[in-house]
Amino acid sequence: MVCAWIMRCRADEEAVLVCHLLAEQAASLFAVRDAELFVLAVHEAVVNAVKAVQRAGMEAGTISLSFFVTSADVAVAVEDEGGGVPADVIEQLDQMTLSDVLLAESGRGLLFIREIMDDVMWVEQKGGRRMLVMKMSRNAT
Amino acid sequence: MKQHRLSFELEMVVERAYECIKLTGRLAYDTQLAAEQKLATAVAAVKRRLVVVDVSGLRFLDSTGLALLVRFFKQIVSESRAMAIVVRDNAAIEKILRMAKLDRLLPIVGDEQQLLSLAPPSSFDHMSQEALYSAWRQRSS
Repeated sequence: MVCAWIMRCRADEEAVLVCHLLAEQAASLFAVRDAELFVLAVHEAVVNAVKAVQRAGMEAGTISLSFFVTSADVAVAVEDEGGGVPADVIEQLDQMTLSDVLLAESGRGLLFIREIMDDVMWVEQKGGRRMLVMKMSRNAT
Repeated sequence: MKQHRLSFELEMVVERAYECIKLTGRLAYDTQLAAEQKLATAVAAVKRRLVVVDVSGLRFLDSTGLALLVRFFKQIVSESRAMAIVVRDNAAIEKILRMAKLDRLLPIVGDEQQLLSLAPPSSFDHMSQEALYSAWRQRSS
């Protein structure tokens, strides 16, 4: 591993912006395959986490964003205290594409992440929470 | 954090054959309230049959912003108008629009000239979304 860091912040709009800036820096510093789409995927994951905390009505709830950098790729883990994405939504997601939500006014965020990243997985945490882990390869130096 | 990073602006320009709605800044989760309001005002103010949404000034577009664009499109079409998107040289935004398959809903063109070359100028006064999209697909194929 080249390096790793974790950030925890209150689940609000400021968290979305801070995480967005961090993703931009990581994408540039570690030369991921597609920097703009990497930033979009991280942004979507963080927005999703913030919404989950807000839906759970947790005023002081937090989200965490972790980066794990190797010589081959950059992995990002996003976790929230709000219960994350429900299991049935994840199951539905496996059957859907962006064409299915062409005229929809929601539901694209997780589909974008799946489309953009090289690998996406859901890791079950203590208490049944699901952490989103996703990876994008780095450009060869 | 610089305030300009968080802004979304909308400007309407009435041309002879169409109405151009220029979007600049971020069309995203963190600007959605302002964007929703400005887009709703724009829908009510549109006069021409053909509406061209110029997204070349957008620095960032996420799934929330796309949902707002889709809602705007549905409102425009429900008023028997036609809509197209102009991207100019903003490859990052064009990539996101195409990833979301918006090119299956409406024309996505480089500039207004590409759009106006699809039909005689007078025909845009009564052109439906279906006819506009069909002309664009035929030209693209």
